[in-house]
Amino acid sequence: MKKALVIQEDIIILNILERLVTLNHYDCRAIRTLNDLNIEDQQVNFDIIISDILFDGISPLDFVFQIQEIILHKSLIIVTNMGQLNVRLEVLASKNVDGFFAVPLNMNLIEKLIV
Amino acid sequence: MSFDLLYYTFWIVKFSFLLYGLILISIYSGGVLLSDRAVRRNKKRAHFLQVNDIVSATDIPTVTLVAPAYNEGRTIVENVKSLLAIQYPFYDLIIVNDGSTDNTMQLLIDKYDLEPFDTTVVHNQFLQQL
Amino acid sequence: MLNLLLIFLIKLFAVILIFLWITIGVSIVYRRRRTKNLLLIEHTFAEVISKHLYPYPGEELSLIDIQRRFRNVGIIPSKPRNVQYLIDLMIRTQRSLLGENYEKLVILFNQIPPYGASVSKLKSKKWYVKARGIREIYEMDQNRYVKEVIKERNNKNIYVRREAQIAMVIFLGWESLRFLSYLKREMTLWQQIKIVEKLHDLYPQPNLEYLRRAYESEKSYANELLMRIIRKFNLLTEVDYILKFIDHINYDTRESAIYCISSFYLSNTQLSVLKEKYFEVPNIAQQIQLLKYIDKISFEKDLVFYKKLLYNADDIIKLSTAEILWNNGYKEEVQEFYYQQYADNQSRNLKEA
Repeated sequence: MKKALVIQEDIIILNILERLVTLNHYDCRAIRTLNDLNIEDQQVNFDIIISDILFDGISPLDFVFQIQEIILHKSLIIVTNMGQLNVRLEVLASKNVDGFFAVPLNMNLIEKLIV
Repeated sequence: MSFDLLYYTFWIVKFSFLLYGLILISIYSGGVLLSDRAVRRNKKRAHFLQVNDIVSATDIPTVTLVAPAYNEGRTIVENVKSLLAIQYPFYDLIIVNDGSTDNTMQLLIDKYDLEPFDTTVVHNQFLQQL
Repeated sequence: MLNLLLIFLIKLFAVILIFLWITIGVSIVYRRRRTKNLLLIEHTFAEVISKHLYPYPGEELSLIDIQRRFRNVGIIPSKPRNVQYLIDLMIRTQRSLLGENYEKLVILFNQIPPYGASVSKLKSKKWYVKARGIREIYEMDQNRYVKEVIKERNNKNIYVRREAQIAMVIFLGWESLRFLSYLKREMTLWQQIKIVEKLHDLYPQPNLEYLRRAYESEKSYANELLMRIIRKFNLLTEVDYILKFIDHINYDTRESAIYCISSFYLSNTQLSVLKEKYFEVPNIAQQIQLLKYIDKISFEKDLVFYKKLLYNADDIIKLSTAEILWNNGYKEEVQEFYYQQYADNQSRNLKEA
């Protein structure tokens, strides 16, 4: 089964994304911050990571780089509140970032990307 | 007579301490009450200014942070990292290397891949004369 | 006698102190329990909403189940603070979603109590209750209360009137400019930003009739708001309105005008008007901003204009002008100016000697 990791501080969005991903036949791990990752998770090669970029103490772009460094994955989708054009362009220019969705979210578009 | 003087002095000193203590407690209690009021007021106001509203706004003004640094070699990298972690979508950070004699500048150049570029500098002649 | 009085006072003071400590202890315990309870409500809400939007096959949540789950975590009419927290969660979720999920949530939230509570908040004398009520009304799209909300647009409390103004834009769209340009109190920059954003998100098609009628307002905040709208909607036909304020007496209005005009490329006529107004701008920093903007949008460099600045303006403007001319291939003009300055200095030094 394909593996997915969802990282969102907002528990409501986290639960919704977790359900969406699970319904699309992924084995989903949902966490609220990177600190909740355990050692086994860091060894998994996730097919997809859906993450926010706004976390305390780290700039958005640095967070993207941190994910890319410490978690093995094939595809990264960003789901965030900070949807300005300059942020979008900077993040999408990073490797493996396949999607950038700003609030308000159209889940159908996210679903199309993960299917 | 001298015994009476000693006795009254003793009482005056005792009461002074009591008065001092009472005044101090009143001031602190007043402070606590006022701060309680202020905290409640700010909590109500904070409900109407959500961080998410600012973070997602597109027309907010650009902010420039100017931070002077003099011989900050030991902490400059971490300080700049924390300044860069600000969650405001439109801001610039200018670090003013205020004549540092240590390796502040070099640390910044190495860590953040800084590149030199030409710019116009205007000196204030009056301050130079001082 | 005095001793007894003193002892009594000390005992009284000790009682007050003990009471204070007990209050602090109770408060700490209460806050811990309250935080735990709120977290439980939030988790339950998240679970319920996600199950409602994306049910697993065979796992359908009925409205009765949802209401029962909320009742179990304390969302009942006798606990209004829990009910208020639920409303806040509902608003937060609704703002985060679009499309089919948004419609599903609207239907669900219409059925969950306590929906009529928002309008009763408008009657409250407390500003935070009133402002919250207005926010709930516009977030939950209860447009039947527009009239009550519009009445609060000039409320003396800034938060109440801000929420009322945002509600007006949401419900009335461009027609709200009829009211927004004639408010009794100043509108802050943040208010202007929110209003322009909401107008752009909900009513992307501009209505120039209402916009142009609002031009008659002489209030400075109204001028700034309209300029921001013109910029946001990229209304090229209305750029002349912004040009009017480039040399305005008020610093903030000038600042807004310069910020807004920077998004546009001007026609030759408009550029000439801008260059004329340039010399009326009293602030050097703003003149520099304008100079850079003129340089950016000009295909051909107007030597007459730049020479006027080079020979007659402030030192910093002279420097910026020299930089522009130098970078655009007019090195001779800059050198001529420099040599003249040098000759002037020399003759001045000789006279002094």
